[in-house]
Amino acid sequence: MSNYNKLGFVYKKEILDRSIKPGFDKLISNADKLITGLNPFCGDEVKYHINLKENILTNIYLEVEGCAIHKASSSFLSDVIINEKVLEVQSMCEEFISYFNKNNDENKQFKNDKLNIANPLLDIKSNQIRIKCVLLSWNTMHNNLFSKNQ
Amino acid sequence: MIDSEKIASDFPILKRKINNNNLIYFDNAATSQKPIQVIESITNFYTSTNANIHRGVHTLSMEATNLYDRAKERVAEFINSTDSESIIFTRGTTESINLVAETWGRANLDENSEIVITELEHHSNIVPWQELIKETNSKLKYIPINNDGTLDLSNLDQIINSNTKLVSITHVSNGIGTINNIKNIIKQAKDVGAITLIDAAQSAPHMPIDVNDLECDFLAFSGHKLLAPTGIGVLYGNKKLLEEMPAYQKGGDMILEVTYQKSSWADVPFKFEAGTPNIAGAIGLKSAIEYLMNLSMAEIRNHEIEITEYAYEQMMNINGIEILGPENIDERAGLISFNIPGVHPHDLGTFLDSKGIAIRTGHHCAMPLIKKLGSHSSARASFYIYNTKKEIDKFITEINNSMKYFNHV
Ligand SMILES: Cc1ncc(COP(=O)(O)O)c(C=O)c1O
Repeated sequence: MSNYNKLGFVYKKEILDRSIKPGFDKLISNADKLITGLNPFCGDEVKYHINLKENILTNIYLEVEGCAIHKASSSFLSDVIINEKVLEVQSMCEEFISYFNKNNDENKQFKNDKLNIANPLLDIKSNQIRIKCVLLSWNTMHNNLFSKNQ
Repeated sequence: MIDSEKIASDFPILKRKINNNNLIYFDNAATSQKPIQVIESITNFYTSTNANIHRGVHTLSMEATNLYDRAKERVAEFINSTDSESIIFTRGTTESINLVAETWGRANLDENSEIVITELEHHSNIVPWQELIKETNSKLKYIPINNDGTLDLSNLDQIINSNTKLVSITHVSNGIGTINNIKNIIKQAKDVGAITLIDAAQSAPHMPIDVNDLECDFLAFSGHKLLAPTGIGVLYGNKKLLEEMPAYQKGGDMILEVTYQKSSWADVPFKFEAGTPNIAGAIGLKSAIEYLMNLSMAEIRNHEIEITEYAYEQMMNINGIEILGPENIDERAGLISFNIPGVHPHDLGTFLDSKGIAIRTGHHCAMPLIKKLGSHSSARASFYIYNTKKEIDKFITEINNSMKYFNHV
């Protein structure tokens, strides 16, 4: 039993569920922004089609391929950022990414409550190799939301 | 006949539990585990014989020198070379290939020269040549592959031609397990006067190698994939070529005479072994090769054919599985690269690890190859002398369980 528990530490039920159904699957034909990310080492891939109204992300269409953790993480991110201001998205991404990059893990309390949606991902911090699966989408969003040509 | 359960008892690490399960080690293409005989040979060296080699007249130095030289003799015997002076110790396959690129390559290539490799190569038999052609303005050509991961030799006459100066090919693909018919390719290369290098990193641990029969000019492999420690590897070279080649690194142990103005080089192979070598590594390699030769390389290959066929047949029954590489076992080493529907290789790797099973996932240092075969990554199980059919049964069961786990069925 303890093995399943250990596996369950990484693959929490919410992660498995979201990996099968990431949601945000309604096509957007007139996206204002297309943000894409790829990890060529493993093939994890993500595309966010986004509608922006007065700097608010009003609509997201998510296309995601890859491992369960990456798919779930991309889905969590969508829930975190929908209906948020671009600036707020930037700062939430920063906060989330820095949680994984810091050595201590005392501070699981995020400034913006909405980030708590992504809580099931936090324990993956203990699995060095899989952190990049968690962060691909967050880094992609953070690095590209402001850029003009995407 | 190989008795894998008895062999496994020589490997202390195989007694370890991983996540409360017996360790099943199927990542042998990355590196092999080490038997107690090899571990003890290294401990014994440091506890009773340690000294530098080829320099002292004292007892320890002479004993250490003797062990080091005998390691070379064993390696020569292992690949059926008649001359232990053709054996250069390096850090591994990567350094062996780089040595050839930086010495023979720089001295012999120009803008009319072509190097031929294959689409199956490990990064270490691609990147040194990509750099070398920039320096020398020469050209790099690839022997393409068929869909099943075997080499497409239909245009070999055009690919290997009078401009070809070097043909550098892998014996066995680390990505998908293809065994290449290197003897034929070497012959074609010789017909046009090209030099040949064989990357034997994935073949020397698993099947008999005979450089006399192959007639290759260079052959490279790593100790750590054949029971020896990391940091020791081999470059076999045709003695005449080695003598003509410029030195590699410069310093102690590789000189004949040094004045403050200039120096001359020692004879082959010492010309290529500057500085204090990995003496303990060489002694570990000697012990590893003795262990393997004692089992017989032909028997090892037979054992791997048996368990690989066994695994392959059962894996083919898994719904939707995609197995990369050739179907015919005569063309496949003890390695199976595959993808399972609905389970990404990294998730499968993490799942199997929770059951104590170690496999490799990713691109296996053969990115262009895996991409050409239509994916970014795959899962890879690779077998060795201590692996059993019982382990394969558990592996298959857990692959099936992973599909249930990740697909909620
Ligand atoms: C076919 C092949 N060539 C070269 C290498 C490089 O060997 P090393 O890392 O020991 O230098 C490997 C190791 O994975 C290999 O499989």
